[in-house]
Amino acid sequence: MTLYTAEAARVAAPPAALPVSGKLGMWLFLASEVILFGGLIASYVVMRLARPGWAAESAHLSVMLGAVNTAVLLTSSFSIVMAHRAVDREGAAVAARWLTLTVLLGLVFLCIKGIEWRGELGAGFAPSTGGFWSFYYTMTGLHALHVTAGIVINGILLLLAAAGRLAPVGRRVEFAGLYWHFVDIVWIFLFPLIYLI
Amino acid sequence: MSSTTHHPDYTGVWLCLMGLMLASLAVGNLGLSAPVAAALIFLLAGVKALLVALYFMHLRFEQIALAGILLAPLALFAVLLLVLIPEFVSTAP
Repeated sequence: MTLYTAEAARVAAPPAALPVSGKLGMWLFLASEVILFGGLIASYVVMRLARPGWAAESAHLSVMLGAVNTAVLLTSSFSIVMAHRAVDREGAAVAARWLTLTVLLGLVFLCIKGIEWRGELGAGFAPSTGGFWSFYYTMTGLHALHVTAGIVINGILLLLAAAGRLAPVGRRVEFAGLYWHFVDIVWIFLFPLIYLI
Repeated sequence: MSSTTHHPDYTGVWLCLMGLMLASLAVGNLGLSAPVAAALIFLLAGVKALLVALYFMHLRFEQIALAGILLAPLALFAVLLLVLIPEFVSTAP
């Protein structure tokens, strides 16, 4: 086989397991998000180790509400991956139901976060109160912004599914799911970091 | 729409995640020292994150290079911690 025909054969039959470009793009974006949250979390960890008094500050947080929010996000990760499975198997109508649950759980998370902040601000713990509270509102606020963006994306996919227009862009449920799972993973570490230790 | 994606038992994974979350909450009642309790809690968090990454994000079934995209910034994160901790903790007031 000449070099030309070998190259033609390679172009005609690319490796079967190449990731779809949308998926690759999402993973690259998530890598940048790891840098964003990683920098913030690393700073908090270092400051926390240097200031044992911050443990007393974190005692003012509601572990119960934080735990409920953790369960809410873990369940929403489950529901969006079930929506992804439904796109492949049961169809757009079932995917729409799972996406509805995902959006609702995201909204529940934000509501609970709002209730927490309202309580903490009412008790006099503002971002300017001290280093711990500055980190707390920044980290949970940045995370909540990401949850909000995820809700918008999932909501758009839900509307497409409900309108019967999901088929051409069905892969996007998987990509949106990757983003949503990442937001969940960030909270999986934020919760023990801020609430439990 | 693709029907070639491998879909594992998502319900089973979700139940494991719920169990691990409850276990994390229970660690505080075990009477362990603070550093040991913290290590155990973060170990459980790490397992939860791995389950989400491997099964919900399908890394278990993807090319290893895809996981490499995520491992690079995680390695940078670890380096950042290792470099900063001696700098800040040793100069604590």
